[in-house]
Amino acid sequence: MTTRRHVPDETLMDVVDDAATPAAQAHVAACAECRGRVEEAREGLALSREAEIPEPSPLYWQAFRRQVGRRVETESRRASWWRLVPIAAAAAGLIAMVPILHAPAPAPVGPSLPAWSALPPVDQDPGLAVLQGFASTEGDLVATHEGRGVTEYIATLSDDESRALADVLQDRIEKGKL
Amino acid sequence: MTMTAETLAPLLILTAAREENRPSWPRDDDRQAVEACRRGEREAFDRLVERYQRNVYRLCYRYVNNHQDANDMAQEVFLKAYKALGRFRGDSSFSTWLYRIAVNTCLNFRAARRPEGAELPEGLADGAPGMTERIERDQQARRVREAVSRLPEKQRATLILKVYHDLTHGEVAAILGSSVGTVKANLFHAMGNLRKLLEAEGGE
Repeated sequence: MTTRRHVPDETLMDVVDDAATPAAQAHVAACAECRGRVEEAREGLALSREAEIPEPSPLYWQAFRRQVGRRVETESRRASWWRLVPIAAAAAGLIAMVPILHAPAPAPVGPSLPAWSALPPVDQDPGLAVLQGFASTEGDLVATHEGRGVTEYIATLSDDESRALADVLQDRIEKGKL
Repeated sequence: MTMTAETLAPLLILTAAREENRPSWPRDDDRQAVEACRRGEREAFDRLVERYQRNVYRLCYRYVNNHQDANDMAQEVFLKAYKALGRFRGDSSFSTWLYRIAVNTCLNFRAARRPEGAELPEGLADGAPGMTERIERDQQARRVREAVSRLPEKQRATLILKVYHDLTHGEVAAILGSSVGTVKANLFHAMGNLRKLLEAEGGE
């Protein structure tokens, strides 16, 4: 007795659907086991079609759409809020950075002469010694411009004014008048 | 059997249900509706809900066999679809994509099964012959639905999509992420097992 090969289950499904090849149909016709399985599947298919489900009333579908619409609306609002979170976080970070970015420059310690290349080095600048002498005796001098002390006044001079004052002082030192 | 409004009504409902299982609107309409949704047109999503609410509800009902859970799950399906619209690439049809969400939602559903509907009072069983037949038909339908719910997950999903939603093997394969051959094999097993379950339930 020869062993007959059975057709795959997917092919048996084609037989159920009346969409199988002639060869497959011939096998099923000749094979009791496959034929029995096909008949069993056909009975199951017929039974499955008896499982009607209760149909809701037409009013239900309107209510269903309204419920879905409300949930979608809530979800949209929630999604919009969450989209703002990273933006708000970035804005907060920028706002926190403002005081740092716009921090006032630290106040200078004591008067500082404007730097320009025409000034000699410190150890070779007799005018600087004169100015420093002025600074040490500021308290004895009459307040000069607008009630400010000498050191404050010197700090406000422009480059040209500072150079001119240094020249005058240097001249007077050389002539022995200071 | 006398054809009355009472006997005709279920047939008309079933016929309408089967016709509605195969939407006749062109696929382009769905694509346009999705694009409109992405632009923020909320009413476009409402149109999609209106198109597919029956199919989604029925699919969910087949899994849970009660209206309340089916209603909750169907709403969940549409909410998930709305949230995932941005990820819909159009590789498949919108209906296939929606069915996929529905099947996954049903498979993940873990709510406790609600008690089945109360038994009808005995008095009604003694009513007119039409009423008796309807009751018997409803009871048989319930038995079949319960048997379907006891099938293995893949077989159940395949049978529901193929038999009750009249989808092609290819469409079912796309939804379940299977091959057409696997779909056919699962369906074949599902039908054979369904028959065995019902036979064992009503066996002598």
